Amino acid sequence: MPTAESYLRPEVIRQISRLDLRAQFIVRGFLQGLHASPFHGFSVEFSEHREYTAGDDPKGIDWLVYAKTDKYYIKKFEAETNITGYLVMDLSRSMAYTFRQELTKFDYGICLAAALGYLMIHQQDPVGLVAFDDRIRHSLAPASKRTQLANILSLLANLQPTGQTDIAASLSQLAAMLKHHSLVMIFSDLLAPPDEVFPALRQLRYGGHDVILFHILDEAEVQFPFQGLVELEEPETNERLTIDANHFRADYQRQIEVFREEYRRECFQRRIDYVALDTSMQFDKALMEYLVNRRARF
Amino acid sequence: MDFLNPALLAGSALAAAPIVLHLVLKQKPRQFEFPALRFLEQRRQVNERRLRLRHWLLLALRVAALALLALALARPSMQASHVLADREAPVAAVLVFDTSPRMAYRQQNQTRLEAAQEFGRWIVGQLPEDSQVAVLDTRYATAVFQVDAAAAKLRIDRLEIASLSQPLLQVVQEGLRLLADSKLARKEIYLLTDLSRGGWQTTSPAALVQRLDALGDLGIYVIDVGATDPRNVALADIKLSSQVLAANSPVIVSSEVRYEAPAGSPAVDRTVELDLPDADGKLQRRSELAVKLAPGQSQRVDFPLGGFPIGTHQGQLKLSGEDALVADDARYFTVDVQPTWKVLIAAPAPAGRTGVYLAEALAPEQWRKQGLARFHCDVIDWQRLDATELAPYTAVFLLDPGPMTPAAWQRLLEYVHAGGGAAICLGRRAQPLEEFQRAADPLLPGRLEGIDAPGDDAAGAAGATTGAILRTAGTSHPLLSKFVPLADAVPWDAFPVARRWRFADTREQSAVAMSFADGQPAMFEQRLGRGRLLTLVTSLSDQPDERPIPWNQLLTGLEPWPGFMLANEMALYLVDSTEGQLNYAVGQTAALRLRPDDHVTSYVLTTPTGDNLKGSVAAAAETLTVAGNEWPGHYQLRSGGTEGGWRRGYSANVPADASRLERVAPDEVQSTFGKRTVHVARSQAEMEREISTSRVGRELYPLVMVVLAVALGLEQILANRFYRQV
Repeated sequence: MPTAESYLRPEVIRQISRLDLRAQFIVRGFLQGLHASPFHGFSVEFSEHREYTAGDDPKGIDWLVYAKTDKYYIKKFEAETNITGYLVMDLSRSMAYTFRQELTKFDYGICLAAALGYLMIHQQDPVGLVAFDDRIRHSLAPASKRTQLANILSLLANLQPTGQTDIAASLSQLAAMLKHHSLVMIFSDLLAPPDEVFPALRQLRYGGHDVILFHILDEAEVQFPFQGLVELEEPETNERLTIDANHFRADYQRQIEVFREEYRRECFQRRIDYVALDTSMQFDKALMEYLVNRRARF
Repeated sequence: MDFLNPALLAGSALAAAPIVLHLVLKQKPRQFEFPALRFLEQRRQVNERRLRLRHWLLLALRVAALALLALALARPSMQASHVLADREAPVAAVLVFDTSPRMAYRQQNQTRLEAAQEFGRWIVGQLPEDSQVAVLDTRYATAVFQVDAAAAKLRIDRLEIASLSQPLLQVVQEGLRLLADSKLARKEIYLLTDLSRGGWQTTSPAALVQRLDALGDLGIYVIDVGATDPRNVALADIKLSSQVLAANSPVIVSSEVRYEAPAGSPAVDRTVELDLPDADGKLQRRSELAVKLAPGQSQRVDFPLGGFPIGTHQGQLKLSGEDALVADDARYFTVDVQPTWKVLIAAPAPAGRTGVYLAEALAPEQWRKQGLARFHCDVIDWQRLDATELAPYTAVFLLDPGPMTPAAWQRLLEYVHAGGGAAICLGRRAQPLEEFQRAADPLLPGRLEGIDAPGDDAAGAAGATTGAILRTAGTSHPLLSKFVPLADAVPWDAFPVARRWRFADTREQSAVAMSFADGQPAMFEQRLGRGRLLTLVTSLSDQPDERPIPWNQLLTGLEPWPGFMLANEMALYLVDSTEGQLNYAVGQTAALRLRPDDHVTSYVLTTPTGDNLKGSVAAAAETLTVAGNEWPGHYQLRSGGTEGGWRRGYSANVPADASRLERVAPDEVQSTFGKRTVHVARSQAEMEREISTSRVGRELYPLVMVVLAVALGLEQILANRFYRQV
């Protein structure tokens, strides 16, 4: 039986087919790890009590309640205030890419989105879902009801990354759509000209929204593991290129780093949280980023 | 550049294979989907250039590798001496040993051949590994490369002096031919000789020069093992007054003793012995002569012999005393003594008077009385020829025949066919012409046309002896061989021929044996069956007082020795004596004429080395030939058991010129080989020096292999980087 933390690893998660379970396991694993970490109690507060049962951590016993009731109660955490969150999924064809035939970028993003949705619903934060390719294709209005999670997961599970992408236009459309200050969590590989994307991001920020940009790349897109003579094909444009991979690796890695650095700098300037991910990374990095971001708001 | 296996160069055509593969079957790159292609775009152009360059570089390396492989297998080699001299590159070497009898010259207790062998072994030992070595000698010029150096040394060890020897330069040509076939770049020829004139042709044969020109780089080394101041007493070629003689005839054995030594050397005393076999066949000294010779002098020695019984007799002349070269200290001879030849003289009546001149010429009365006459002559009237048994006679002279019976002509024809010798001396009685022609036609050399009277052309006084003059000077017929040394000293002009028959339409098989000075034929020879027939166009039976004019006075004139000699030579020719050669030079093929009564089908030949060889004779063969007489000495043939039976023999001698030790000048050696540099050495130290200055050439195989390995290595690295699996 894998430990709860092992569900943070993509290679473990991909063995679970149901998205709700995936989200549940990821969050549990995350919280389990969090209890044993310096982040314990970092920005979440208990929201309810429940009776202590064997196997619970005794650290969690609320001694004040015990003094009053002479019974052991365990604290449950919840956020003090609520924040409306939007999970924004990129549906572009390039998101379906996986080199190792494990989790695609899209799968990775879906898992992450589901986990975040789960976390937020459990803290009674209203959360909505938006999916786009060259424009917004699906949207689910935010809600904090328990049933919302099922709706989100159901919608997420049915999304297919097949289209051409226009991130800038889609984000602009989203910015126009949002009425209240929200937390916009974007899951995309951002394979579009940055100069076009940046104005859209700024537009979101100007709208008073908090933005977390989850930049998801495939492991191969970061590492460039090819050797020798290869012919590469761009899935969206079908453009082909034959290269000697050995001589391109260093150069490519540098290009990717420059690309990420460009986003990092832009996001820093606009106070956007930029999280560079690849499909081989554990999910907790992204979740932690969310928690850090949430705490910073209060 | 030369190639050991030029045919393998064709393999370089395989170099086209990578080009074809490159063009036709271009390798497909592995395909992948990759969304982040935009990050590669910027480097795209640089990459494509580099890719193309890589492709071409890889292609070039593969082509080069295949071409180099073909080149390496073809074993290229550089010829040029000035490029990369390497003493250890293999050499094609031919060692030519002089094994002529001169090489038996002993100095410092070593023959010249032994010295040459020692030198030869040393040379073979000095040759680089993988060299090709051929050992040739002047005995057999079988030019092949030995399997290895050990085989070459063994061949050198087995060399021996051969009496039969080819000219050294001819063997050198064989060696050059062998070198021309060799694929090795460096070629060397070594001549191990005593450099004496006997084995050295001074004029360079055109073929030798041609062979030298055809060869590229060639080192010529002459190893001089000759004695610097040779001293040699030698017997020159033996001369016999006659090789086939009738019983009791005398014979003179002659030779010459020659002393070869540096000027100023003291004179030498020597004894020349003549040995003949005794009753048991062992050689016993029969006579001896003392000679005293100063350097460069020669002296003739004659040994008159006689009283041989019938049969073949073999003797030798021998020089006594110590001599450095023993090969020319003995000479061998063979004489064949036959019973007194019976000659039938059929003369016109009165035969007692007409035939007596010829009978006297062949068997003078004085000799008959002393029992020394070679011929026994019976004189009959030709009218009785058809009644006379001819078989007992070895020769028949038909003098001035008239119209005989056809039976008589037929009998004579059968006699000749069966192997007898006959001479027809035509005279005035051959009349009437047509009738005579008809009867005698099978025996005549052509059609009788008429009688010439050259005597009448000269307006001399009546009875004066004028006419056509016979000629023997400059003739080549064996019948006249005794006249040849006399040249113009024969006074034929004292014996003119006044009348002679003229022939027309001569038969093909008839040859002119003797002519007149005016070119008209005087004597014809025909071979009919196994016998010989001579036809003289003038008479040998005319009396001195014959009317109207004697046809000639060849046998009746004053001191008619030329006529006597001619008659004797004719008789000897007819009895098969003049052609009976029994003394040969080594290597010559001996040809012994078989007599009709010999009946030999197989024989045993005993050689001078004591070997007994069996041989056979074809039925009805006229001569028995024995080839390959390579040892000097006596050869004996026998058939029909050890007692009685058939016995013959002959001798072989090394020609006197073959043992001349006079040395050849270095300039002459150089000029023999034309423009080529000849390295002459007398010692191993000299030889080493000569070799080190001239050895050249280098095989490129190792170099090509290294380049090939580098090309293959680079190809591997490049291809690995190019087509590596992910």
